[in-house]
Amino acid sequence: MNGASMAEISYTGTAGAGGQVTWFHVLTLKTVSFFRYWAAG
Amino acid sequence: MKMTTQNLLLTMLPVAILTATALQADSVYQDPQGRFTIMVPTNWRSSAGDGALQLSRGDAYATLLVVTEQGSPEEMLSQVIGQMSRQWKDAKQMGSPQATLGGQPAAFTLITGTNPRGVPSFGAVYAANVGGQMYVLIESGPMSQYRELAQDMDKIATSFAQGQSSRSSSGPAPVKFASQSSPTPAYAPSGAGSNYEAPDHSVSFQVPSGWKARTADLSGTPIQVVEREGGDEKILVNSGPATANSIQELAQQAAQLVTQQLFPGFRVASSPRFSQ
Repeated sequence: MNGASMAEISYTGTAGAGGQVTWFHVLTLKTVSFFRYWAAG
Repeated sequence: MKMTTQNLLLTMLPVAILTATALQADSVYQDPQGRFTIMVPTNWRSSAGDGALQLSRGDAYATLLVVTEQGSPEEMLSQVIGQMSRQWKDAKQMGSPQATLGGQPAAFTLITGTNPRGVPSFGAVYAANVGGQMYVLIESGPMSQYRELAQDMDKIATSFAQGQSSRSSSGPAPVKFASQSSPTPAYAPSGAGSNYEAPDHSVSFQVPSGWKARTADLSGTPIQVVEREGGDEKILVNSGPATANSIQELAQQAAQLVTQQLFPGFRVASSPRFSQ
């Protein structure tokens, strides 16, 4: 995967109300910073 | 104030202070020879030594060199980065995005590593030919203070201007560590899309219509929460310095952070996917 600049990771877990949720986690390298995004599914 | 590359090695470390002034408000340093001006942010010290102007705040510094040696900005940058890489442990070049200094195109590189004092640090090196004179600006600070220092580092680089004028350069902005636009409310208005900037200036982004953005604390980590009005969807956004060698290593670090600290009980559902 050399040369990749973006990663996407999915997680599963239990939300506060007890429901099962999926989170998508997108990371990008941008100079010395990176951004993380989680979006509830 | 003339420098040769033989002297760069010394001036990249905090130089001997001949005159030092701690400033309580942003001010402008004017070169006694009238060649340039540069902003000195609040609580930074300026010290004009033999061959360099140094601005410092704690362990952070910005050193401006006026270099006599012939060569291109790219060659000068390469020399400085080479010296830093030899002095720093585990030095890694993090990128060389387009940048300007004093309104002129600058050779530019970001670097991370452990500085000669043993402190994990970040650094930025600009080299540019401004008005027929080569300038090198070296900025560095502890990685742990990145958030506090980013805006000041931007101010210093952005403000550099040739001549005696105290105004900032009118050219395109140099590469920024952090956004410098005016602060926005913690909750951005939910109109037809709006720009949101984190209170700590770490990140800014567009908030779509029907969504709201606010800042929050997640296990001690400041995050920006974007929520759809009337819905359950959330987007959590965080920005900070990365020490990973690759996106693959960053993904590994992030998964560990999420499952062990931020959301204990969550598990990775599938192998990370990588793309350009």
